[in-house]
Amino acid sequence: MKYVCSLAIFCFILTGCVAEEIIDEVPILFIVGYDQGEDEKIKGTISLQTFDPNQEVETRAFEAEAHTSKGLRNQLSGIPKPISIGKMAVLLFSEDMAEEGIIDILDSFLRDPAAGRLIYVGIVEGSASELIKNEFQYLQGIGPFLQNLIKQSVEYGNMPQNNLHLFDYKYYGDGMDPVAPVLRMEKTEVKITGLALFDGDKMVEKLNLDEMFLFALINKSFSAGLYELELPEGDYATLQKIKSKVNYKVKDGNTNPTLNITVKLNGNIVEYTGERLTKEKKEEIAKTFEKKVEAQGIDMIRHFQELEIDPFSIGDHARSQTRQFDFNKWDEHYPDLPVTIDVKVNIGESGIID
Amino acid sequence: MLCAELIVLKWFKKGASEKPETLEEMVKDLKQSIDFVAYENKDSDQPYRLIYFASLIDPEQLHRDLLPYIKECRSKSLEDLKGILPIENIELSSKLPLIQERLLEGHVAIQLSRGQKVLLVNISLRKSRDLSAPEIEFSVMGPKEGLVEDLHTNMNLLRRRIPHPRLRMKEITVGTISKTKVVVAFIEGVASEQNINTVMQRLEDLDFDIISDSSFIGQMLEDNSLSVFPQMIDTERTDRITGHMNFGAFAILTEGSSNALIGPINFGQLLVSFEDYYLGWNIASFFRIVRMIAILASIIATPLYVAVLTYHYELFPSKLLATLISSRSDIPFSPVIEVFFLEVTIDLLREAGARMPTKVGQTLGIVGGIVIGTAAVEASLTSNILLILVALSALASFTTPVYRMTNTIRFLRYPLILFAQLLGLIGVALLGLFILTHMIRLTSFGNPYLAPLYPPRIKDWYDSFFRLPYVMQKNRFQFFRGNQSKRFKDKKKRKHSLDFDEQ
Repeated sequence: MKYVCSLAIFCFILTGCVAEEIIDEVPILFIVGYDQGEDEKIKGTISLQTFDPNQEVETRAFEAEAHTSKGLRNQLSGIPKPISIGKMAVLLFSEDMAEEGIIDILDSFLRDPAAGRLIYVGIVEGSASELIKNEFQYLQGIGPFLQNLIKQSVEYGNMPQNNLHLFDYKYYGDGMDPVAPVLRMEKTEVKITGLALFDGDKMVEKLNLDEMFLFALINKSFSAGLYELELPEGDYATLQKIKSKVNYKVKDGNTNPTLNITVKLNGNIVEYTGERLTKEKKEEIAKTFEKKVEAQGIDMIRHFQELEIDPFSIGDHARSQTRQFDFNKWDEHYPDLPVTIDVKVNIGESGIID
Repeated sequence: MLCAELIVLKWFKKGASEKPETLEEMVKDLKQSIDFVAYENKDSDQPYRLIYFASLIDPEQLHRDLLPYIKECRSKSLEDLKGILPIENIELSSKLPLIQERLLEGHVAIQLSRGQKVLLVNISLRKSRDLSAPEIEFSVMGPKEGLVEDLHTNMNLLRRRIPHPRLRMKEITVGTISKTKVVVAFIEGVASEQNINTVMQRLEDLDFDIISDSSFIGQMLEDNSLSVFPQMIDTERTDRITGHMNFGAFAILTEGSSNALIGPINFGQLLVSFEDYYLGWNIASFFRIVRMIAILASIIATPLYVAVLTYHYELFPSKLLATLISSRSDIPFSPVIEVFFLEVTIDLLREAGARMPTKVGQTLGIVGGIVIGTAAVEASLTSNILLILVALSALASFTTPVYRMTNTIRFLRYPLILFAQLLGLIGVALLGLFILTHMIRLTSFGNPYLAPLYPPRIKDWYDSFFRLPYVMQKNRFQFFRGNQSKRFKDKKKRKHSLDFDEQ
C-alpha cells in the first residue's frame, strides 16, 4: 500500500516537469528555410499550417532574423508558443548559405530529441525564404509536398538516399562527404534540379539530373527509375527499373592504393525510337550503356578527386578493407588514386511483343 | 417485531442458551412461522403427528407415499413404519439439532407417540426452471445447454456428459444460515490431488452467512481478492465445464446458482471461447489471435489517444493530422476530458443496457449509440476520431468470452487514461509494467496465472495463442499437473498414403 501511495504521489509531483503539447494547440511546422540575413544574422522562414474544421489546410509564412536557429523562435512573436519541430519534414538552405557552411544550424536539430532523423536537407537555388513564402496551390502545404517530392524521387526516381541522419553521419564520418538535393523555384512549381556535393558542411559542387542518376548508380546498390539513353545512330532507348549492384575493391589501402568499382546493371527496355528491337540491337544498347556509365563514372570520380571531396565514401570503403588503416596517408593518396570501373549491363526484358 | 428480532438474534448467536431443550419447545418455537405445520391426528386408528415446513415439502408425495402407509401401519413402533414406507433414506433420530436441520431441508418428521423420537422422511419439493440456452455465453456452434439454479439438475448435466466412474463429486455445505450445498466436481487422476485438496480446504474454511450465488464463493476462494483479474472462470456452459474438467480443472457447483466456477485457470483461458474447439483449428486459431489483439487494442486505444494527443503529437502520421486537428479544432476540452466523457458514456450505456429488459435495451442502444454519439460530435464535445476509437474499443472489449474479463478490461482503461494524462506514453508503459508484474505474481489456487508464458511451458502452447489440431493435442496441459498426461493413444502413422482410388 505504501508503494502504491508513493507511486501515485510521484505521478502527481512529476507531472510538473512534463509540458503538455496538445496537438491542436501547438503550431506545427513542416518546413523551415534559412537564408543569409543582415549583419551576419540568419534569416529563418517558416510555414505554419492551420487546419480548418472542414479539413482544409491554410498555410501562412513567417520570417525572422537572429544569430542562432533557436534564437529565431523568440523573434517569431506572431506565432503561439511552444513552436514544435516534431513534425519537421524539410530543412531548406539557400545556396549562398550552403556555401558558407550549414552545420551550425543543423547542430541545433541534431541535438534536439524532438526533431526526427528523417528530415530532408535541401539546397535552394536562390532564396529559401521566397520558395516557402510563395503560395503554390499544394494541397497539404509546401512542407509535406516537398517531403513527398524528395521521398518519391529517392524511392522511384534517380536520387540517392539522403536525410538529416545521413548528412550528420557523412559529415562527422571519416572518408566520406554528405550530399543533398538541390531545388529550384520556378513560376508555377518547385523542381529538383540536381544534387549538391559538400566538402565538410560547405557546398562545393552541383550535379545535374543526368549526373545525379549516374551518381546514384555507382554510389551503392540501388534501384533507379528511368533513364533515356542516346544511341550512336541517333536513336533513343529508355531503360526502366534499373537495378545496380555495386562493389568497391580497394587494394593496398595504406601504401599504394588502387580502386576498382564493379557495377552490375539490370534494366528493361520500355521504349525504343528505332525500327526493330533485335537481339543485336539490345546488345548494342547494353554496350552503349556500359561505355557511357564507365566513361562518365571515371570523369565524375576524377572531378571529385580534383575537388578533394569523397561523396562516394571511397575512403570509408578503403578503411573497411584495410587493416590498420591510416586516414592521413589516405588523404595524401586520394587526389591521384587510380580508379577503374567495370560495368556489366544486362537487359532483362523488352516488353511483351517480342 | 420483538419476536422476529429474537429469532434473528438466535440465528446469529451460536450456541445461545435459548436453544430449545425438547422437541415440544422446538415445535413451539418454530410455530411462529406460518408455514410450519405440526399436525396431530388423534382420531385415526393409528394416532400420529406430522411435523414439517409446508413450504418445503411436496404435498403430493405426502398424501401419496406417506399418509396411506401410516394409516395401514398397525404397529406402534417407528421402526416398523420405517420398513413399510416406500421412500429411501429414512432416518430415525431423537437429536434435536439434526431434526431441526432435516426439517429445514424439507423432511417431514413423523411421530406415532409422544416422545423425543421421530422418523425423518425426505419429501422435499424441488422446483427448478427448465433448461435453457446459455444467454451470457452465447455461441453459434456447439451445444445450447446451460446450467440452471438446481444443483441436482446441474449434476445430472455433468454426469451425463462424463459418464465415467472417476468423475467425483464431493459435497460440502457452506453458509451458516443458507446451508448452501456446494459440489466440487473433478475427474480423479486427471485433476491434481493438490488442487482438489486446496479447494476443499478453502471451502471448509469458509465462514459466511448467506451464499446468494456461486460468485460469492468465487470471490472468497480467490488467491488474491485485491486483484481485478478473475482467478476462476464463471460459466454456465456445460460443455465448457466438462472440457475444463478434462484438462484437469475442477468445477464448483452451487445450489441456487446457474453459474459454475472453474479453477485453476491461467490468463490465456480467459481469452478462449469454447467455440474455438468447434471450429477448424486453423480458423479458430486465426480468430483467437484476432480476439487477443482486439482485447489489447481495447485496453490501450484510448490511453494512447490521450498520450499522443497530449504529449507526443510527433507520433501521429502527417497525413492524418489534418483530419484529426480539423475534428478537434472546435472542441474546448483537453483530450483527457474528452476521452473520459465518452468512455463514461459508453459504460453508462452498458450499465443501463444490462439493467433494462431486452426490448427496452435495444431502444437504449439506438438512443445511446446513434443519438448521443452523433450529437456529441456535432455539438463539438468530442472528435469523431475519438468516437470511432471508443466505439471500436467497446466493441472489442465484448469479444472476451468470459463476462468477468470484460469488466476487468473496461475497468483497466481508466487508470491507464489517467496515467497517460499524467506522464504520457511513459505513464502508459509504467502502469503497463505494473499490471504485468501483478499478473506474473498472481496465482490461481497456487498455479501461476501467466502460465504457458511465464513460467514457460512450451509443451502447453499447442492450445494457447493458437489451437493445433486435435491429433496434436495428445497430452494434457502440464499446467494442471495431473497423473494422466495422455488424452488418447497415439496411432502409428501409415507409411504410404493410399492413392485416391485404392481406399
